[in-house]
Amino acid sequence: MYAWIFRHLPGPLWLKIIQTLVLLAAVVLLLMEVVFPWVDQYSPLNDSTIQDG
Amino acid sequence: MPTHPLPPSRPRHARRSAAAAPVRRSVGSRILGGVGELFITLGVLGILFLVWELWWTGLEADRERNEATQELFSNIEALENPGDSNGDANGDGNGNGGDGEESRGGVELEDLVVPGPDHTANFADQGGVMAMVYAPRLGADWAAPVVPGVGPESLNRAGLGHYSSTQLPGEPGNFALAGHRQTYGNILWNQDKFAVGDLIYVQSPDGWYIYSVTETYIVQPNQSDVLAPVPGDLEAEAEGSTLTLTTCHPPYTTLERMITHAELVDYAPLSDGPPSAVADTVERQMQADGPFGDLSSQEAR
Repeated sequence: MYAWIFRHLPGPLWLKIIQTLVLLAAVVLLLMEVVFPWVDQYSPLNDSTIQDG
Repeated sequence: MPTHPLPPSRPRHARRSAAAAPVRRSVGSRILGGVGELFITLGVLGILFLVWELWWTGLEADRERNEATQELFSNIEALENPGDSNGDANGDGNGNGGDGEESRGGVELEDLVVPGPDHTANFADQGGVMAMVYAPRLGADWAAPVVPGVGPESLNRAGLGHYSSTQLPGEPGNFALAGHRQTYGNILWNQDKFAVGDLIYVQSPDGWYIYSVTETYIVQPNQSDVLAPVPGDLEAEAEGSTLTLTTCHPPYTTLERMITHAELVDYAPLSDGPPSAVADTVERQMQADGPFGDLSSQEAR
């Protein structure tokens, strides 16, 4: 899958490497800002409260 | 003349050209490779999530905590200097001694008489930051703003959330707060370090409340009597003021809760300035700019 993507990136090798890094950064940012905060509501680590009543 | 003849070059050349040509992999090999990539991806995702949960949330929380802190300071300042928003950020003591606000009825708490927490209640009603907590035992410069409510939107934003069903500092009863142990800036990571007699300083718009730690223990998450006006006794009527901190325990789980109680031992009006033990911390909190700068604190200066 990743080899397929790499092969289909246009340009010479150095351009492919730059594109790869940009893609990686975009994916990580998307995860950190959108996906993980959404997953977080199901995370067990956050509940530090006493159930009241 | 070389005694050993060079190895024939033709096979090597052939091998190289074979490697350069696209490899025809069998269907089974390609499926296995795809599954392998999937597993590696899932593993990396899991690690990334932990990085996010334990570290990235802390970065955001630190920034928001700083904003919350400045919000409280500027609101308190506005309260002390009505109509003068450019007042000295240090509030030099003789702000406005007796303009009617001070004539609120006092509350008797055992041997202390403190003013009623009218301003604090007011701040809380507006959903704003209602107090700051300073606890030198939890770390140098440890300070946390308190917002009403203990939902994720409260705890993730500031440091501590106030159980809205409990009382305010300066009211007879329990001023109960919750904080994260391991995520979002893990504000209460060190809660287990509290020793009996440690002082916790609460700065609210109504003054400085100084609490002394009486005990720290572990309970089940549903043991709500720790939030009672007299912790552990649902029937009793409170005479003093208690501060209660709750967080997760053991670290990295939510199986139990760690509870710390502290008793109110002293009170000082805001005009007396911060108690000397936390004066430096307060000073630094007032000047602290978030990593991206903070407009409200720059305005205040």
